Amino acid sequence: MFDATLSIRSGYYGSLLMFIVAIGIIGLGIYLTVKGVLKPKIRRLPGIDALDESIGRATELGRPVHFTVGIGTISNVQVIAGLSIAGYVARRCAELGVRFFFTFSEPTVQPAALDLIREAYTLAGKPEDFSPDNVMWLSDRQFSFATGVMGLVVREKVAANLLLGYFAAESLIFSEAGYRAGAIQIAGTTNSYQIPFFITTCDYTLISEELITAGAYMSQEKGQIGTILGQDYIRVIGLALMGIGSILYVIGIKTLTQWLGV
Amino acid sequence: MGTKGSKSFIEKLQELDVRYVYVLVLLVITVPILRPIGIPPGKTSPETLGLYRYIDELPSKSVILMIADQSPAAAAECQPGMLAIMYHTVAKGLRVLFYASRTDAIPYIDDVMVKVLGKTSDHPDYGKLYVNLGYIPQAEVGLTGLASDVFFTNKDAYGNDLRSMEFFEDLPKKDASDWKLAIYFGASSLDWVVRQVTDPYGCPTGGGVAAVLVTRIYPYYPHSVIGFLSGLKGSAEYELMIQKPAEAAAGMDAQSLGHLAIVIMIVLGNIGYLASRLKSQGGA
Amino acid sequence: MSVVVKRYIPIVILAGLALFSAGDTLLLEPTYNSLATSGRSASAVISAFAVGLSVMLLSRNHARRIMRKRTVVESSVLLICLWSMLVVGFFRFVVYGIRPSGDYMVQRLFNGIVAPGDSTIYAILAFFIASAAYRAFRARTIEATILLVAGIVVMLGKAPIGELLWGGLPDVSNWILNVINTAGSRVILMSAILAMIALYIRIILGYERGWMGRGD
Repeated sequence: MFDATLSIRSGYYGSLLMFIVAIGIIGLGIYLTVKGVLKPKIRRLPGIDALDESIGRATELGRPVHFTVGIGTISNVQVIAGLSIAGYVARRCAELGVRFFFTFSEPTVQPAALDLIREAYTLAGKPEDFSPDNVMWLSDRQFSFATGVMGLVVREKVAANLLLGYFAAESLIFSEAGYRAGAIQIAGTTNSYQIPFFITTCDYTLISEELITAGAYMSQEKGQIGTILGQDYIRVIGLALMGIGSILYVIGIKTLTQWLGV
Repeated sequence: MGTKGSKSFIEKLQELDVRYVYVLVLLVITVPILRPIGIPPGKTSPETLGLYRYIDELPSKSVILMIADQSPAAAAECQPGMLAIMYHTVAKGLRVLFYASRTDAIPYIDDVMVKVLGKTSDHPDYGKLYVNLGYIPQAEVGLTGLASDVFFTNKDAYGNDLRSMEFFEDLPKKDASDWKLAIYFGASSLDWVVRQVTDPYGCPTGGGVAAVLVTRIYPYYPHSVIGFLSGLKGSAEYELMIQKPAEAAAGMDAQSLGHLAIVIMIVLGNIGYLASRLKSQGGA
Repeated sequence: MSVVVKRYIPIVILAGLALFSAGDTLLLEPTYNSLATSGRSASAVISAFAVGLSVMLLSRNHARRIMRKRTVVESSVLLICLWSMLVVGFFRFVVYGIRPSGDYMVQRLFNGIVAPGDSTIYAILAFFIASAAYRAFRARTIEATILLVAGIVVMLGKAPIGELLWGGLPDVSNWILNVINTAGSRVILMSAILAMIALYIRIILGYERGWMGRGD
């Protein structure tokens, strides 16, 4: 089936090496953490710590919590990260008897979201409180979804507006609607050009990788923290390569940059 | 104990009802469109120049890929740029391959072809100089497929067989390495175009993007992204360079006054804030 | 057995496909590469079917809502009626071979309903940006002041009026974007990509299960 012409694409030697090294380092991080050799701690993420505060506020005010993963598909990493946080929030809302609305734009998210939130209510011991009507697909069009969320947030006067996922231009519409409803707002996305809008309008913002590591931060599972440790090791190696590469480049030695395909 | 009492006018500047802000923005945007002021356009930005010069120096019959990713919302910023670039490519005799990476953007390709060429698939040069591949789903995955094989879709947007078209006959590799430029129009991101076209095949990327996306493009500029049109201003600059001022140029007065109005509101708010801070420090 | 089916088989499929796709980017072997190309075409077909499946699920949900006469039934009725347009479009394609590109009916509906609707909501952002900027940009700290000044310089520099106020403003604005902003954007991009790699490894190893619809 395969003939003997398997080779590495030209110019990708550096990429392949970095791919293998990255996987290896993350694996090493997981191994060291699971075996207890290292006990790394993730620094405080105020946005995630504020989740309980926001749910508590909703309980006191008797108003619902709104959570959205934005306009991404189920294959979008930000949506996956948002879903892992949504499971936690749904469970806490179920335990405290707070109404929980979950909205999304891509239909492909629906099966995972329904199962996740139904399971959260079951684990909280309140499966009868789960209503599939509160897991809402509003529209797959960006701004139709935005108007739907705006209407929901203002109409229901949500106490907590959680925007954790993939957002584009409609991010400011969501956060302004939450502001008008008087909600505490926690937002997070890796789209760097939407982060400024969230920072100016939301109480807490998870910037870029903080959203993606939130699942590990909340679970405190050793294996998950190990991947973050590995990620930090890669970052240190990357910084070292940048520093060494820059110095070598300036003095005229371009081997490293050529070999890494830069 | 601070001094209590009603706030002065200056302190109240930080608490203006937002409806006044909305009215001000409405006025400064609509009035210049109805009664143009004629604010001088200023010098062209280096990013727009970079894109213009690159296209201007391409030999005739070079292949350009135009990726339409604009939604109706982003089209206000991106479509004038797409039109202007299309006029330029027609004047230079370049070959243009269109495709839409979202369903919303399909009509915008037709719009460009009708406005610049007068026709779509029934244009005499369709199939020789211009091909519209229509919608290819899953943005990055679709582009990966197209970049590796230009006959990825087999048929164009109108159901014609691609292999029978003169457009593709003299392309040596039938992949993205035959293209001289890939231009992205839209408001999401063009990282995926750089990843799938520039890095593997060496075809540079250009952009006609919404202004909000610009901060995300600068890391790739000027090595992978040789130039881009930054929102409506970039489109206006390009229109002026090809000497066909149109919608984008007409919107510059409104954009200028809109930006100025926002800056004035920010300054007023800060004056009010500083005044109340000085008062509380003076009273403490 | 059910744990194996529900938990491990999806992860094995995911891991296999992920490594297969990553391998296609890095390795050159004609049969393997053409299989990967076919895989990409297949994923486009699968996503179309996934959307179709979701449409069916949503139709079922909204039909149930109409039958139970829940609140805001009107929107559910409208949704189901509008989906009949899918049927019309599909019928026109199958029977008459009419494709969306260049079709008169699609153009009229798009230009008359969809485009103005989207543009209107996008335009609301102009007002929201103004009110958010007015409310949030306060010189509370040194960092906030620097942000404020940089924001004002870039906003004015990127409009023609900036050059009218001061000829050097566009150059300062470009410098801020090219140097300071680029450094920050690169950091955020690289951090995000590293975090994504770590997340994908967590997914492959089964630590993250949100995408499967399972929490803890």
